[in-house]
Amino acid sequence: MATNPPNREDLKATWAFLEAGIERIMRDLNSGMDMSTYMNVYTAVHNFCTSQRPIAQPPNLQQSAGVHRGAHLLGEDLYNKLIEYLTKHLTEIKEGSQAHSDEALIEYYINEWERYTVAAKFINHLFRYLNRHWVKREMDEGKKNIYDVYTLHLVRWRLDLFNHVQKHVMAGVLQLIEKERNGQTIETTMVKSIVTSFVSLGLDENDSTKSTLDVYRQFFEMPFLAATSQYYQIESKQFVAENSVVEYMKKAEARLAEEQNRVHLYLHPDITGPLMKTCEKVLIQEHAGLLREEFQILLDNDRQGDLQRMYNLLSRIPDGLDPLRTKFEAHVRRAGLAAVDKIADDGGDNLEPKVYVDALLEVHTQYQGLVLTAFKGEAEFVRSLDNACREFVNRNKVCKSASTKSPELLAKYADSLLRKSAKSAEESDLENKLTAIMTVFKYVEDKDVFQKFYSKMLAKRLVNFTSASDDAETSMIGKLKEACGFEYTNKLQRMFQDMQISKDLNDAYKVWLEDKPQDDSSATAVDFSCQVLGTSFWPLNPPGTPFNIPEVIIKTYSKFVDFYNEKHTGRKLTWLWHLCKGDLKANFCKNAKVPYTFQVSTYQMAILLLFNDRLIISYDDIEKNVALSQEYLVPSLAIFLKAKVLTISPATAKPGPGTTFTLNTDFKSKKIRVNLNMAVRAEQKQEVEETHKTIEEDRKLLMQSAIVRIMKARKVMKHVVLVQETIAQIKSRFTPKIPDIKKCIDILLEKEYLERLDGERLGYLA
Amino acid sequence: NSTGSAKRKRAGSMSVTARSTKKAKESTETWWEEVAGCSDAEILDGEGFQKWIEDLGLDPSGMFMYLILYKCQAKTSMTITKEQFVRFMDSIGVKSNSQLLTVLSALLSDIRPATAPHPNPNFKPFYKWCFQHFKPEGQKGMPVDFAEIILQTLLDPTRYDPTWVSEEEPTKNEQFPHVDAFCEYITQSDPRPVHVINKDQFEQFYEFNLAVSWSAVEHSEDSAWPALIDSYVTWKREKYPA
Repeated sequence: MATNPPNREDLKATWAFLEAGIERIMRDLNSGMDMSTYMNVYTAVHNFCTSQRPIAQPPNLQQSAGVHRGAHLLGEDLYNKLIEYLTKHLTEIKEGSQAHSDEALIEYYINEWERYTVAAKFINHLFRYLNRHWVKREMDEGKKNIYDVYTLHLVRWRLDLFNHVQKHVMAGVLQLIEKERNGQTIETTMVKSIVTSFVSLGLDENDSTKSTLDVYRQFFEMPFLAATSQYYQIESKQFVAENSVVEYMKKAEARLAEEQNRVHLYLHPDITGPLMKTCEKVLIQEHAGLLREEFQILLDNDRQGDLQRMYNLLSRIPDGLDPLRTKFEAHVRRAGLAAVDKIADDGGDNLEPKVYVDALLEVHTQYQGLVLTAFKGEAEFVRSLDNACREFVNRNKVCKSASTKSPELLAKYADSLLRKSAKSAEESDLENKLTAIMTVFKYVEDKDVFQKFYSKMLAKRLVNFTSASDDAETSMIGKLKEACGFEYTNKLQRMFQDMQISKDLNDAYKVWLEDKPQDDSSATAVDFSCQVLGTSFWPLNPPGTPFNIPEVIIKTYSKFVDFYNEKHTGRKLTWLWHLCKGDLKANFCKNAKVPYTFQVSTYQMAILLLFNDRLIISYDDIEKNVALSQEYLVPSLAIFLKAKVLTISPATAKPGPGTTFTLNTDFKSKKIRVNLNMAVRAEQKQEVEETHKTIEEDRKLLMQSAIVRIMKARKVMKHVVLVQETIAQIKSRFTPKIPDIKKCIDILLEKEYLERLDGERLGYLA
Repeated sequence: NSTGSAKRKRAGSMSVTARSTKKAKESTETWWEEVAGCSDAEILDGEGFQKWIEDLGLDPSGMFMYLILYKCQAKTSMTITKEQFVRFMDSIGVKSNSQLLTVLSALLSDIRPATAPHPNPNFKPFYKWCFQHFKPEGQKGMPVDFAEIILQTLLDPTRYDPTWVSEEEPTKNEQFPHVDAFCEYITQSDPRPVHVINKDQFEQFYEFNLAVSWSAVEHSEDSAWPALIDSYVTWKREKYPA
């Protein structure tokens, strides 16, 4: 087709020439087009657009404008002719499409689309001159509905073909996808091509260089989502009716993954969000009630995998998890209470601290594990777990008698771990157990109670040298400090310091003693050491009974007092005789080759030493000599009787006024060292009671000082607000009750730290 | 309006005293001698009051003594001095028992308690003063048995009337229904919730009466009432469910 370009002035001839070229490109691109034909078409467009032919014009227009306008109008003619051609061409395609349906139609549509768009690119190139001048100018002038030639092809496609056939094409596409959803293999590239073609048709009306997803969204996405929704609605309903909830969750999970994958394979990435939302709504939201009903069953049977599946599903819908959290919290609390009930029934009053703490920990560990694996450690579930644990740790059957039972038992358990004993734990194991204690500690509301008991028992460990390991003690205090701050562990740390200071003091005393003239042998006859401990840091009470210091140790006693007063003037030493102990060598036993050593308390020592002078002593004489009150004297004697160090007369009597005691020279023991220094049970019980009492007192002071602190800062405050702030300040130690706070406010009003300004407001009195 | 008439009277007598202060004083002093029973008496104590009340023909359980102690701003418990007596009587221009009886009704009305919506603002200072005056010296609180009498007297509006007489069966305190119940709570409970009533509890009890009706629906533990009042409400709800 090597014909030359037609006369530039003749539209009819030019168009006929061009149409032949275009038709060739459209219909038979594969056969190719030689360069000269191509160039001729290109030239024809150029020539036509630049021809000077005057055409119908208002005659009074100036010449220069006329030239300009001429080119303008000529371009328009060509443009309209092109539209005419495209409409005709597309109508033919449309008619051709009617012969096809379903997959064949899709194939037809894709083929035509591909042919058409490739041709459009060439034609666009051929009409470049038109694009560059006439189209550009029209667009610059703000004319609507004028497009560059390529875009014009797309616009015409949409108007003359797409609008008429898209419904049928989409029907085919949806059918295809449904086939795939039903498990058949389909030609996915077909869908992909359709998607691409739909996307290409999206033109930005304001800027033809940009494309939008409007057409695609309207004609593909919407029907696709509707079909998806409908498909899964039917499927899920049917599936649920025939299968268990667990099976359904698996199915839903698989379907969701499948749809996600579908996007990757052949859909536009833009659809991910809407598609997932649609699927989630139909597959999860609409069955959420059913799933949640199953939750309790899964919890009861500890079905971790299924719980995880449920979590994953419900986490995908808005507010999907809230009901689960509530149920989970209640479930954990019940589990905790049940665990405590069980051991409370078994243990009764003498519940082993370890058994109790282990029971609490077991529940916590189990559900913490569940939260981590099944619920991905999600913060809200962690909070539910914490809430539940806080509930059952502080309010359970064991705590019924006293809400402070949990911290008491926890502290006792800590003591049993840290105390030297036959079954001391391995170092690493011990550390784990201490960490576990902190887990429970975190939930304990009455942290002040724990502190009280812990410091009491720590004091005992230190005073009696029964602490298993300094490292472990330090580690535990470190943990408590981390959890509650410096103030909480301050006294505990000072107790440790005092121990070191005491050690140094004993060394200094020995040196001091050596420099003294040895006036009397009895001063050094006793091997002596002592601990000097700061009254304000140690939870130790002064002795509850008068006591005459035995003659043998009185020298040593006064020497040390001299030494200490020399070193620190103005300090007062209080001797805690009830905590002192000593070893006595028993030379009186007839049958012993080696003398026994009796480990005794100072009180017991004072009693036994009386028998150095006499073998038979009456109760009243003992009482007179040692000056101990009955509640200390009687148990001490009882231990001697039980161990058969002494015998009583009358033989069946209990120690008391009117009885006499005889040293048993036939005393026998398997061990050389005989421990007679045993704590009396009644004493222990009394101690616990006392501790609880001091807690009450301390709490009152703590609340009062908090109130004063707050009021000092705020000067004037509403009563209600003050109560709330006080609770907030104290909560880390214990949970104060409102009436108790009010009582403290009453006390402060009476003491005139505060005044009532009017009914509701309180003022601070400096 | 009784308060108004009292004021008028006071204003009128003021002009009299302004003209002949010395003479008025003399006659007030004469009257003091009559009341106190002897010419050089410097104080009038409880016993003296009793006699005076008898002379006036009033009920000994009435408000008269409270009124006079308050108006004279007595410093010592249940005792007024001659100086306090003269100062007060001069200020209202009263020189004799009979004159006193004519203004007594107005004086009492002036400090009579009333409940919401129109509480009497003059009552509260009087009520607060009474606590300070009647509590044992050097102590912060008032023994409950004593507080019972004070509360039942002060918070009984009917007693603010010279013609009031005590009865065997006291009538129900309609305006301050909490008074008798509260007194029962603090004196009859076993063990007693408190041994003494402190200033705050005493003063707040009056406010409580203004704010909280017999059903106690207005009461909440979270509000600012002293703990004793909270525990009273708990007790009352059990004992006298409204």
